Amino acid sequence: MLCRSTARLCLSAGAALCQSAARPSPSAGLRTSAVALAGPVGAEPPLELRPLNKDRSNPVPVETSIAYLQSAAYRATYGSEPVWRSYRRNHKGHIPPRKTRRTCIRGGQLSTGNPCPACRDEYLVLDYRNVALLRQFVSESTGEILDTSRTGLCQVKHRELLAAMTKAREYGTLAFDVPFRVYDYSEYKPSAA
Amino acid sequence: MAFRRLLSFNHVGNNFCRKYCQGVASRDPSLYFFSSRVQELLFQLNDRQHDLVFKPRKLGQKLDAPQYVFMTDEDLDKERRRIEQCLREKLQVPPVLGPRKPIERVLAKDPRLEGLHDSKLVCIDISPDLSDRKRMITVREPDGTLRTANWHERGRINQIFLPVDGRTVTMPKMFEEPHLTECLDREEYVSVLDRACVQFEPDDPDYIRVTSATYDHVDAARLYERLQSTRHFGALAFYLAWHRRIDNLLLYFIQLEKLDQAVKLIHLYRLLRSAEPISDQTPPTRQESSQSDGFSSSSESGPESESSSSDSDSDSEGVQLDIIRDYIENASVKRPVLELALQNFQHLSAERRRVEREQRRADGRQ
Repeated sequence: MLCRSTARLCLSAGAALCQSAARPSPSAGLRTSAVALAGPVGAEPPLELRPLNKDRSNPVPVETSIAYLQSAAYRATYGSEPVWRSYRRNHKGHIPPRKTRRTCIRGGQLSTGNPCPACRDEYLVLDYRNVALLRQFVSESTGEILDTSRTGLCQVKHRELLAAMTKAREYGTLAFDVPFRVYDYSEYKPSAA
Repeated sequence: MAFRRLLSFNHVGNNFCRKYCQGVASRDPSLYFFSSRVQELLFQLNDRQHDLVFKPRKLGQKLDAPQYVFMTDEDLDKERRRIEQCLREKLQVPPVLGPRKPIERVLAKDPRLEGLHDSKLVCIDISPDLSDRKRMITVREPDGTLRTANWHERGRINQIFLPVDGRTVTMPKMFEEPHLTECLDREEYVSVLDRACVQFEPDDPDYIRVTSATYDHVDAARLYERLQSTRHFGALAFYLAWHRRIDNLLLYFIQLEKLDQAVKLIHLYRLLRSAEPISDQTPPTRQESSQSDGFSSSSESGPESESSSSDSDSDSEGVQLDIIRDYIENASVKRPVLELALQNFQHLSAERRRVEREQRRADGRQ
């Protein structure tokens, strides 16, 4: 795992660890083909580290985001934890402000030094079809949508999340519990002939 | 009418959604559903695993820490009886009714009121002690006609003025195609059925469509254990028995060696096939009482005793096998598969009995 000081680089553009492949040097006297140098057949391409991209003027399609959440780059960046777990807000003093900032993106560009978990990674799209991402913002024990005090999302992204959750419930992409309905059979019994 | 004709010519097979009152003799399932015998069978067909029945629902409520209480034996008995009562409530099967008939009727015509308003006016009686199904809801059309509201309008207006938790005013898109099929393909059966129970009335044609599609999908995929220990298993069993498609479920019970459940399913099938609607006053017929003897002898042989347990087991098992074989020969569609499953079960149970006898003989010698 890369050290913390380069964490910002890690989280940009869906990039993650750079992999140092052990290549035999030409002077070692080994002769291998290009196929062998590429690694075992069927292996994923090596993950590369890219510089931070602040441009948010071209939104990523939701299908790309769904594929990203299953990819090795996502796994290397976030592991099995929710995307907001590693985020820490910067604020004066011991107690954070009640509300998070209004937005991290102004004029189509990241305009803050510590963007929220949904803004910093442009491949995380809050959409009703992106169930793997939406599930990370729902409490395991009570089924509630987590508050910004826990997730650290900016207000605009939090509202996008609420809209996506409402649509997910409408279209049934996200399963959720409903209250138990008690029937009064006397209302439905056929009247005695 | 056009829809009905389409249904009879379309050969899609098991994934077809059928309405309850379709067929040559359109019978009303509500005449059979509320009988105490049918209700008891639906309750007994359920697995009733306490862990699954009492699984907490995540409704955004504050969670309390579990309580540990010291109890006397009397307190424990009382608590067990209370839990049995709660179990019955949790496993209450949603009522099975035929599709509802229109109730719109004109109360008055006042052509002199035409042009007074450019939209309809709705009037509802919001007294809290009235049933939502019997509440007065009337509509004044712009042309002056005063009429009672139709079922669709009634549902919307009731939900606006007297909202039910979990229900929406308009039908959620998840109950429309293609979203419903996508939900069923993800095997979220309980979620769909629970939401349908809250959203619709049991005689709503949309409720019947959604539940029929779900039961058809479960039957095609053979995923009956998803609905086990929920209130929907009884409704599923009723649906399959009503439409005379119990073979897959019967096979499932035989393969799991649950012969008493298989016999109960056959009993339910026979009850629902009878021409006369069952009332609680008519005494059980001789055939039913011989089947219920099969149940009672199997329940008595439940706790295993020492030496004669295998004999009494094989007797009651023999009765159960007779009932199942009788159904397979006379009424089943998938006869070879069921016969094979029954043969496998008989081989297995004979082997088990032989092993037990040899074990006892070996223990006796020791």
